[in-house]
Amino acid sequence: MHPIFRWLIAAALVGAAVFWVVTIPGDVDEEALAGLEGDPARGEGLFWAAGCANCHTAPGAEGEARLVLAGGQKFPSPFGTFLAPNISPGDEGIGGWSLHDLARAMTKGVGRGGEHLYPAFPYNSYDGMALQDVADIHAYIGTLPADSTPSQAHEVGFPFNIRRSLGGWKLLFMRGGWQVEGDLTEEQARGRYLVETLAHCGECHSPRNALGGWTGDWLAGAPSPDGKGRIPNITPGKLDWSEGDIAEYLKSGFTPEFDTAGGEMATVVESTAKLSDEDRAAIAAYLKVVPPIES
Amino acid sequence: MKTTAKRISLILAASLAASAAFGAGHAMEQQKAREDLMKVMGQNLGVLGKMAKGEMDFDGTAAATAADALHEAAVKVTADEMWEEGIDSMSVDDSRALPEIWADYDDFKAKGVELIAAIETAQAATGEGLQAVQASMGALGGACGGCHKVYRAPEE
Repeated sequence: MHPIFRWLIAAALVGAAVFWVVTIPGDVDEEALAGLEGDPARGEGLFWAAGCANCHTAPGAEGEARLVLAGGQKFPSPFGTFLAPNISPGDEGIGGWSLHDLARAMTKGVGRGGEHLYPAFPYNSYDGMALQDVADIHAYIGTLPADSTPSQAHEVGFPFNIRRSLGGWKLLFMRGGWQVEGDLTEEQARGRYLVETLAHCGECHSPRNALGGWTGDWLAGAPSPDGKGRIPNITPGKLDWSEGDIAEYLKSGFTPEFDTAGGEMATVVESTAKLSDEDRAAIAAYLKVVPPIES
Repeated sequence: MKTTAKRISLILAASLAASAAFGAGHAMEQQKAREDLMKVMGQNLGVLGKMAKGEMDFDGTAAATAADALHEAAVKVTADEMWEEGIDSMSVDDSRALPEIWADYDDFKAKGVELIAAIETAQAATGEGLQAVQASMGALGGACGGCHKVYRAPEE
């Protein structure tokens, strides 16, 4: 064998080994979770802030049905169609999940079987969650009705159906820190935690590259992943609403012109309507200090 | 014979074109009528909303007038004759009315009934004071959003 082939084979083996190592699913340290006691009452507020019901209820669920996390909503994207799973506290959902299981899924994007989850699940935002908050949400979901609807498989083709490759995606695109840095007031910092982490606003409002990673134009708007319409730019470069206007929109859905939220955002407002006035004001305060992007 | 046939076909073509033009004109008229009513609703909601937000001093009489005008426009805009099948985003330029309206027309109508109920609550609230008006805004927003969520296409 020509030496060059030996080198190529060796390089390929090293490459495969490196790929294998860097794409090992992450984990949450058991010690960090030790002693955490979930408070379901606190978890209720966090549940709405994190918008769990927006995606995980059955399609078209309204009112009390928004507490039944049966799954089944479809999320078309350039990579395939993702189907939100059942996360109700029953056998078909996450009934048997420990706090460790849920914390690993939400902050590391790793399923109970140790597999990488698709980033349609917003773990690239939830990664910044305080583990106490995960514990409270875990406790609150445990109080909700169980539902027996089986989760459906995602409709994702090759090569995106190779779960291991998501480890590479994470390596390239997991944010690992705040999007907006610098000196923030206490209110702005609370708003940052709400916008960047819990409410995961950037998942829809920030543009992505061809591989689905954020381009860095934080909250500058993006084409809707289902191909219909555009998700608006909410940086101060475009959104000129007052802080009061933003807070009111997140409470009642009314724009300053008294039009209302539509589409997916109407669903989001059904959740933000349940936040405290202080939290909605904090979101508005943070949105004013996001770097402005015109367009 | 030939000329008669030609004439008939000409007349047919002309009347077809005329009815198509009438149809298109009618659709645009209906779309405009809906949008004008929605604007009237927005203006009157604005009066209530600005008072609720504290951007305008509360005035019970002005609030009641706005709520009544809102009610009147909402009754008109939720009437069947405003929503003829086919006058939707697929067939009229700039219309954002999704064809889903007619796929589940009963649900669409039910949401109209919810809207009127929310406005009636707001009308009553104007006689009770600012706090009652503030409390009624959430249900109003929910009722408006209830329809806009499912039955209105996103803005281009």
